[in-house]
Amino acid sequence: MLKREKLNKLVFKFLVTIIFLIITSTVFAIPYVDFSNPTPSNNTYTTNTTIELNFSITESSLNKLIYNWDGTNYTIFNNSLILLYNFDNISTIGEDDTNIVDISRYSINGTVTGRGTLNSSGKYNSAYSFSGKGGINTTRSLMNSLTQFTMAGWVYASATGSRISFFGQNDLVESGFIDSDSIMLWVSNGGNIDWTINSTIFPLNTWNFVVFVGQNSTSPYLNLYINGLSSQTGGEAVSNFGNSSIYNFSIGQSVFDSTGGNFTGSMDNVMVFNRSLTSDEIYHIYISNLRKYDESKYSLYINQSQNATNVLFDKSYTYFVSGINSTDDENMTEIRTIGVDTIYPSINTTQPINNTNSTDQNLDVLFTRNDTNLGSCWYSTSAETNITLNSCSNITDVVWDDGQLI
Amino acid sequence: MTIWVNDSANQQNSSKLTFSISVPQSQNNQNPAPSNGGGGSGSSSGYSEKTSLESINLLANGNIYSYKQLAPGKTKIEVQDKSLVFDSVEISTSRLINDLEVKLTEETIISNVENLPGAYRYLIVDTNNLLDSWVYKRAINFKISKSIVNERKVSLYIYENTWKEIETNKLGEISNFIYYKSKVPHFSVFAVKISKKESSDEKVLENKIENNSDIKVKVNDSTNFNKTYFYIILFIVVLILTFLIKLIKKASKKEYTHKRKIKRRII
Repeated sequence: MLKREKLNKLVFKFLVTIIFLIITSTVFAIPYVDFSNPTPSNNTYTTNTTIELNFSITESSLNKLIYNWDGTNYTIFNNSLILLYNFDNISTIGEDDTNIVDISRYSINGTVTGRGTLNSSGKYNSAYSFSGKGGINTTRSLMNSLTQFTMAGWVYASATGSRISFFGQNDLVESGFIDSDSIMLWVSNGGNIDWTINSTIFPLNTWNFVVFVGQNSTSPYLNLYINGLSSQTGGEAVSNFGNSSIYNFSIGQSVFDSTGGNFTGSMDNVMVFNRSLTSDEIYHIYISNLRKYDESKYSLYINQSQNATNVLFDKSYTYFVSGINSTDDENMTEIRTIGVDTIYPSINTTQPINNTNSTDQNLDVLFTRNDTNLGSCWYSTSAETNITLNSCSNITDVVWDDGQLI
Repeated sequence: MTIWVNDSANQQNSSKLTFSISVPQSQNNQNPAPSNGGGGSGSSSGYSEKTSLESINLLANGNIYSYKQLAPGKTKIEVQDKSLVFDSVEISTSRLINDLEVKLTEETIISNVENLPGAYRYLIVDTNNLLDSWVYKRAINFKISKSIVNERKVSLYIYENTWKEIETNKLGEISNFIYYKSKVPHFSVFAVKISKKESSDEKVLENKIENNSDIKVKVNDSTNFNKTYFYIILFIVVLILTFLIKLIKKASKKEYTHKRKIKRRII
């Protein structure tokens, strides 16, 4: 009898454990996505023409991250992102002074060589600085046989020079200062583009977002974007941009040549996609920062404007973020709305005429008011302050005192 | 005066306006009486204001007032037939209105809607070419002979599928008539009802003797109020006392019987 009771207890415990495991694995399998500061609350109106949004994502196996702004999806993270270095020296993900972790799905980690040092004044958090004697090496020939690519990064150049490296793979896809006046994108197969530096568009000692895009079959085949705007196009249609080279992908050194070409300045958030991003997508990576700050924790910061040249228009916008993990479990934030309203409401009194006398103690005060997002109306007289006008309607139910100056 | 407006993004704008109110002494001093035609200008009291209109008979098919163009602001349509309950209709519009028609009718019984029990008169206001949204204020002024009112409560009712009472204010008394005003939510069929005796706790008196104006003074008749309550409280106290006396008597009777029983046992 005692044995049977013990057996029953064991079976019960076993079942409880199984149920607990099923529940926890189900709950925690879904990516966690949420808003964080300084994201505005839902249904708010602002006079700001750029809006800062922040999202937190918790997922150990992030597969896809979509940011939706005003009804359009922008894929910030998926398997087309083949390299992303935050350069934030996060020890919990395995970074230190010399080891850089790739937060893309491919984990192509990098090593700092020479005199590359961590600089706390990055574009986003910290960055790596190179004083002309260092760079970052990877262990992969990332750019082999690509029919499309996008290489991007924040570049703080302190000096230009001849054959100075930004990022790329020697003998296959190369980018940087080709001479003291030009930025070049060269591909082994498909030509090159050479942009003469305009110091207004690309000033030295300032963070500039530089993007090199290649697409083999659609013009423009090669495209250079500076700070979200296309600055130079060219190239030619090809089957791919080069089958292979024996070199690995490098940053800040060994791009135009197998050695040397060291960059002077800082670099932050270098990323590579194996597809060509549209100009709208490029604008959205220009205004965003996807950052991994713990083993399974990411943050996505967006500084949203209308586009690279315009601030947000006066209207209501919706936005949300959706995360998908490797087992295709999806979770998304609520869809929030924010209204941009920079136009002041107008108000004009139509009756009575200003500075006149009336014998009518029931005199109605009529006015017109106009605004797309009208809030409230109220009035003050010498006798009373802040009387709310329901529905912003005319003042029609006041009996004014005889002899009153209103 | 400053009128403020803000929007959802909390941006504010304001408009400043200065005006004064000064009622001419002659109007303040005169006894508010409707003129028998011949015109008159506006006054602060409202109901004594008259415009020149010919006498009309509303009891038949009603009378239609037509306006080729009605300017924004307040318009008062007045009925000068003193035998009628209908005194005037006020319409305050926010815009210029073209080809406005207002038809006023007064009936003793009504056929197209259910009759209101105890209704004294039905007042009907029909309009053409007038949207509700253009009108920001409407009021109906009516008068009833003092002898008919006889201190009873007078209310205006509006028909909105059922009869609903509207706040009715007594404006004052002029010769044999008592004048009333009701702000109405829209024009419709109205009924004047004279019901039970006017509540005695609030009387509207006109301060005619003091300054011959139509300033209304509300006086609380606290004497009557206190008397009623005094009698109720007195009645309750008497009841409680009677109950207590009975209770004491019962208790003392019990004690007496108990003591007698003990005495008997001792004996």
